[in-house]
Amino acid sequence: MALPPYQVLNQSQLRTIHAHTLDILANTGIAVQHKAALEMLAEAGARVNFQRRRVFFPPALVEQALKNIPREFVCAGREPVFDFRVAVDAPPVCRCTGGAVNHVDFVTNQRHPLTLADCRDIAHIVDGLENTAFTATQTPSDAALPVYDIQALKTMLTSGRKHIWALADSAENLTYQLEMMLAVAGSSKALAKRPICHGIVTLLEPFIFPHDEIERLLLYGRYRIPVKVPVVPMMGANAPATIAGTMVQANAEAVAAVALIHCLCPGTPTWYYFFVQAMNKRTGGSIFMSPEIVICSLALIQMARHYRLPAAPSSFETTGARLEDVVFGNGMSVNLFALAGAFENASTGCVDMSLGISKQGLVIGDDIWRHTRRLLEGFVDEKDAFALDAIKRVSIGSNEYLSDDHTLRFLRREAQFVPGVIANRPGAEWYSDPKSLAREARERVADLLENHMVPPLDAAVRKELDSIEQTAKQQILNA
Amino acid sequence: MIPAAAADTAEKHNIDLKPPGVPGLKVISDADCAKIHEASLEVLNTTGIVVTSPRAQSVFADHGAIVDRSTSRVRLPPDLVEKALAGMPSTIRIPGRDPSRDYIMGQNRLGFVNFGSTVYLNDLYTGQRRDALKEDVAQATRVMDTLDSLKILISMLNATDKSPLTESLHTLAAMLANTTKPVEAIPPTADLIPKMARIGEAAVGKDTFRKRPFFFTGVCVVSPLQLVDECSEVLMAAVEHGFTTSVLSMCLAGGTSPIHLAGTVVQHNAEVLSGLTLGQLVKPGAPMFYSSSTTALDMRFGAAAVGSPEGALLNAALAKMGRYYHIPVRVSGG
Repeated sequence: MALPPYQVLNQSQLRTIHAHTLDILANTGIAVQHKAALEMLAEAGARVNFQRRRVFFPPALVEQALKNIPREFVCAGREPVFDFRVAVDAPPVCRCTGGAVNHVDFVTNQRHPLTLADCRDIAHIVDGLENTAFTATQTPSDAALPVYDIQALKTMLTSGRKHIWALADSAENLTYQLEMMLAVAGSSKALAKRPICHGIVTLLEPFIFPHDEIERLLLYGRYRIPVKVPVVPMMGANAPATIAGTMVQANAEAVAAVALIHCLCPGTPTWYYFFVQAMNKRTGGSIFMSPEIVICSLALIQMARHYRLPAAPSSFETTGARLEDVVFGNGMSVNLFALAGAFENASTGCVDMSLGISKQGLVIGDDIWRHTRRLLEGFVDEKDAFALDAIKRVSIGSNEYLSDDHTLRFLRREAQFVPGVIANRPGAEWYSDPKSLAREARERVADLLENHMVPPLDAAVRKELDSIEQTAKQQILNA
Repeated sequence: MIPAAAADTAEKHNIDLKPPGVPGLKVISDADCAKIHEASLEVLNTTGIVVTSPRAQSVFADHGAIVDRSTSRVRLPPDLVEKALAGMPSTIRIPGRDPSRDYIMGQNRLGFVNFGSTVYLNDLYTGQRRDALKEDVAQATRVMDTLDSLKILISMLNATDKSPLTESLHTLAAMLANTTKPVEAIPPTADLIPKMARIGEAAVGKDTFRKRPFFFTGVCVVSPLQLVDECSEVLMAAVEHGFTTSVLSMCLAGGTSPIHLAGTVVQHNAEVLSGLTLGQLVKPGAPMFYSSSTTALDMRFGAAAVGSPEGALLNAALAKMGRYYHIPVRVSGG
């Protein structure tokens, strides 16, 4: 029996947030810094102030957008076995972090600028992890800066078979990334049917869509590639200081993104993606997980489910760099977010103010998600599961269940959790080999890199990817 | 949709079946609670429980239970259990030695308690594991006294340097001297209850202690379905002395309870209901609460899988059962 979702909003609160959202989109509006898009939006029924480049969505248009946005789509891997369905009621997934600029080692407590070799390893490790659905491109420091996103994608496409969230630095660079996706998929039709990557269109808080982001959205839409619009409010800085205020702003932005996609590239799949932060009042820096952020995020997950959109929050703690903090934060948040009904749970491996990634953290995050997946399965509630006969038999007879027929018959009928690197060994065993979690994870990373095999891409495809990369370098670096 | 039979059961016991859509974690529904309750009553009525104490057997027999003294098996009619549950307080105040640190338990209040009754200590200075001493109990209590989240305290350690016969008294004395929060006393035998009361009386005077007994007692049912003397005798003595009493079960799914989690919830619930019923028969309206340290058996090590997903599911469901009965509930968090 799957568990019913954990809810923090009652129906009245939920309706209030939606009503405020409609009010904001109709009367405050959003900034769209793209002339052609403004004309398209006006044609689609939005009220547009061309001089101020501001768009106001009538409630009916918003409701229509929410109704028409795709409810279900596929994110594909290089091989169909890695495909997964994206929908509000699909089995939830977790993914690895993206965009990291540093690599963090939990054993040495050292960090170094992330490299293309790290990108290769990350794709390879995620390929071998049982519970992590897909990966994302990183920010390698040894790539040429103007084309780092193109090189990162090529490296990860060739090093793993799982779906990739491909981060793009500009619309121009995205054209080369799209060529790479087409090279691997085989055709634009195949890419639209089984997109091996999905994209990103960034919104500046609050409510600002810059020109280049809209250009990218139009490009993704041309190929029907699913696109995420990260809603990243920072409570007390670019979003209200109150939890409820941030809920309203974030929801309005998420719905605005849906309306924008509906008007500019209808049929393009998207998520309800958000990454709530809070401003550290002492330092002015970011806090990426706190009880206030959790409450706000749980409410937004509920809003996403209300709209029947797949919720994609940042479920994993990403502020700290000390392993104990990371594991504690994840223990506090991941189960809750998943129980609330988050579809995509980001970001395993992420540390150090969301700027770092740890390969050991990928293994640990995968193990945390293993725990959460089991939790989400709930328990069997069929008639025999109540075990009244077994209780009677054992209570009056042997006083133990291990050898009872009921245990033998039902052992495989209900999932039995088996831990991985977070092994919960009894003290007597652990004291005999007191290995830290970081070391255990490091060994698992080494094992995956050495023994997990990733079949290479076809030679012709590899050659084409090389060619696209070279062209991009020539065109962009020489421009 | 709540089945009619379950709704009738709920109405009979004044159980508030909340409508769907109410915020919160719902591992099991109200309808599931009603099913588990009915199944537990069936277990207690048809399978019964082993009660080794002749006095406890008599208490049950005097109130209509069917007692087979040759096998020590006691079968509890459903109405006996339900009547006992109906009279339990839904909110209880556990006194602290300092009244400002009383802990009010029940309804939507949330508090935390430490893990307890361990016999080993990782020495702070040597890093080595060693037996716990009375002085360690005192030091650990002093630390816990300062931790705001801990509302009630169990002895984190046992004073193993003292005689096993008086170890729990020494532990309690060491705690009493170092905290003003409510303290859980876990005596292995009933004769220690009056001695514990004497310790409390010595600290604040007889009248004050009797009005506000700042010890509370936890007893543990032995799975499957056994109210052994260490549980039933202690429970009766504690209730008679006015101590708030927790009835705990520690089922291990696949070992001492069914492998299916739903079956373990039923057995656990039946076990705790048997203890709560005994306490209420001895002293109707006595402050008692529902407890769980139930989890799954880790088949790799033959150990309790504490902190496992199964443990989380079980304790979320059992917490819901306590709320279903409108009595305070304490569960193991991991």
